[in-house]
Amino acid sequence: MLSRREFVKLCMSSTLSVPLTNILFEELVKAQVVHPEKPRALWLQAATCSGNTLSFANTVNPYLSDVVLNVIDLKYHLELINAFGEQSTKVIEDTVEKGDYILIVEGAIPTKDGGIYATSGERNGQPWKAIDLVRYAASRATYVIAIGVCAVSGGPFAGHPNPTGCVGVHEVIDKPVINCPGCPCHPDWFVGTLAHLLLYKENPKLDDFNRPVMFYGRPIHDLCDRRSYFENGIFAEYPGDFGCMYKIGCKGPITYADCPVRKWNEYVNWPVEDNAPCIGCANPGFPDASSPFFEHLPSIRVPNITVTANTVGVATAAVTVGAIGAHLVGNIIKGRPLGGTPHTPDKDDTGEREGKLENEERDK
Amino acid sequence: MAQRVMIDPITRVEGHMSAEIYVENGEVVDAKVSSTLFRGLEKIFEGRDPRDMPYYTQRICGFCPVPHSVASSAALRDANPVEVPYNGRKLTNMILAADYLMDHIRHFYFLVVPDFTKMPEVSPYIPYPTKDYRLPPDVNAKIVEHYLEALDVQRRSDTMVATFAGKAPHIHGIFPGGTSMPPHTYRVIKYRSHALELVEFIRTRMVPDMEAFAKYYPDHFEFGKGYENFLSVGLFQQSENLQDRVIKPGIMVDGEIRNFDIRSLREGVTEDISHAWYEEGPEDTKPINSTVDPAYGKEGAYTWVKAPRLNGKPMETGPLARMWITGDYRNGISTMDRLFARVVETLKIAEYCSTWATELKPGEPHIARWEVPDEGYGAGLVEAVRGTLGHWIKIEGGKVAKYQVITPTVWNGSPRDKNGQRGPMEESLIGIPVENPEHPIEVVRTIHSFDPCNACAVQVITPKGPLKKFRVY
Repeated sequence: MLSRREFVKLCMSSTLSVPLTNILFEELVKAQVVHPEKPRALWLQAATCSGNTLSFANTVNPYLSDVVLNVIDLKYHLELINAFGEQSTKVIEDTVEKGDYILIVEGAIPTKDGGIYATSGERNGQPWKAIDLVRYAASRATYVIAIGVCAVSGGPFAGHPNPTGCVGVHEVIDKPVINCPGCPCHPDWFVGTLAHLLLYKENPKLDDFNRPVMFYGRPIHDLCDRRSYFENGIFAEYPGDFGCMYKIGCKGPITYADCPVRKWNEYVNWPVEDNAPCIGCANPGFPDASSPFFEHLPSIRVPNITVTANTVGVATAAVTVGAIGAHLVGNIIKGRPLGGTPHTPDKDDTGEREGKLENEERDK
Repeated sequence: MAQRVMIDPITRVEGHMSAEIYVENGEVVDAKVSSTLFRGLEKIFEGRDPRDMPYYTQRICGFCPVPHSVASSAALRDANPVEVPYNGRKLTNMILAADYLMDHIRHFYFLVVPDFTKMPEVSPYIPYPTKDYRLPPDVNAKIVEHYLEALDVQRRSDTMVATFAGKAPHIHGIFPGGTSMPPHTYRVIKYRSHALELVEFIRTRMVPDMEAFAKYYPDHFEFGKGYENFLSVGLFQQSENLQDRVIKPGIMVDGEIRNFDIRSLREGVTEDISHAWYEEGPEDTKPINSTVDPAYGKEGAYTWVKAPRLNGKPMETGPLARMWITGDYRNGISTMDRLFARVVETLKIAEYCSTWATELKPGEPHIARWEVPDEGYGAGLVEAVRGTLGHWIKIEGGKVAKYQVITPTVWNGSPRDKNGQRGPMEESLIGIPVENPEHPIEVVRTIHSFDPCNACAVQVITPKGPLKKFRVY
């Protein structure tokens, strides 16, 4: 079996011409020889658009059929389960009864007015609210994974003025949650995290937002293949232009994710390659901390960070670099990327979190 | 005395949904379909930069982000007209068409096939909800094989979307003035090769599978009829002329097809909220000014979906409506016909994809610059995968003053209106023979035939009273 270190190295590999998961699937198959019983999993949806399910469906090596039928024992997923009505909710109850399963939650949890804004099925004759359902299912889960920025921190449905009081999963349960943000979450980020849990029976290394460092360890700006355009001051003036997207709102400098090297959908493209700015969807503060999506960074109000650089067009590239630098310094001083409410559970929960975000694991 | 049966949740649909049916002498005599998720997105949209809307509105639904992006861009373009270059229009249509393939293939295999096929005895396919599986063992085995194949093939369509739109779901790249990605040759070839692969898959897998369902479940052509009212605003706009669409717009009222000028929807559609959980607000002639607040538990109400009506009529919308109006499919109106028309449309669109890829003009413009107007009003009407989608925007001071969305499932899954007319989906359930009222699989199959999307259906809310000033970023 791959050592944990080799596994993380593989996940962080920046030369992803061969998908990391090519090797991953083999490893998972091997792991199951050791653990013949497939680990049970429950996938619950709260206030969601199902985008993370559909993104997960784009997984390659392992393919969806491998994951769903060979890697995990997926007991419940609203869009895949055969049963309906009471018969389907009973599957949830039976699984929770047995305990020892991985809980995957997609979607924000509405909390306003007691959480009546998302219900699914009935329990004790009352509509089963997402908040109660998630608390109930989390009670006996071995691991809880929040997939997508909604489940992490509320996401688009928690946008100002947050009419239904949407929050992330970690705010309604008292267990550690592994956060896999993104709108949607990249299938590799989720499948890689799941694989780590299955192979090593412990959390991958997490940052202060409980995101797996192997995927969310470095800002997009550092990995971007248009970085040289930024350094040379060649900026796009409108989406569709070639060049650095910074001036038209790219949130790459403050977004921690590996999109530029990983790319999306069978590794074919990613937003900046599409000549459109990154909108920072992997930030827990998404979308309010990223919008307007097409305004460049310093004009966004970022709480507690005092960066005043306001024009990039007239400035030289060097000044621009300075402005970005100040931004990152601001972030690093605060010890977190941007916006949102940081989740800082007990250190005991996850063991070896020392708060060092990047590099360490990669350099090994 | 009719027996009340509650199906909650209805699974294998997008979002949270339930149905309450009344069965008498083995037939459904009354039905209420309810959507149980509310997010209030339209309130969230207010005060934002209009340019954010083609991105933000995609978050309404992960199944059909592209139609929302296209409709929103069209609404912005209507508010401040700009001429879209040839390539921009073609690429927008290609991205939209690929999204259709993604959605139809996923709907057919993930959501519909388990209704008619005995799936392997593993989670999440057990427990079985019915014993009514009629396919002979060899046909059944073949369809299960195709299902497993589809689990892996379906991602190709999202790859086609992402080839020109950055990532999928929730794309980048469609703007009021066109698309940000030029028609690079190697991307065009990639897109086309995936399209050809899917054409082959649809021809040799999806179509025969559908024919098998039709052959072994012939009674499903006999129920699920509903109203003979169809609405389609047409699909794949080809020029500046709104009406000029590859799949033609049209309506059918009480079985009679009529021409339809889609500009008549520009001022919006009035929605009835007598049976939806919203407080009645003061009447306004313009739908975009309608004011409602959520009121969960309102007497007589049972859903978060409002009831739009066209000249007082409930309208069914979706693949059957589109294919009926164009004349591609006119076998009948029923549960099975709805599924069949979807497969017919899937093949048709996959063939468009491979053709259009050869019609791009590399090196020519693909996007025109669009600026936010200070004041403006616009409508964006497009056929989304499940049916007619409309976005309406009012811009004041360069910000979104009001935003309204009416999605296909609002049309199809609407509740009763104040005249007591059921929504199209509810009406289609009436008269369905139910063998086992405890497990009314026939009802669930019929609901699935509409491909309801509750995430889309319920984001509708506008605030009461005067326009509030929201935070300006």
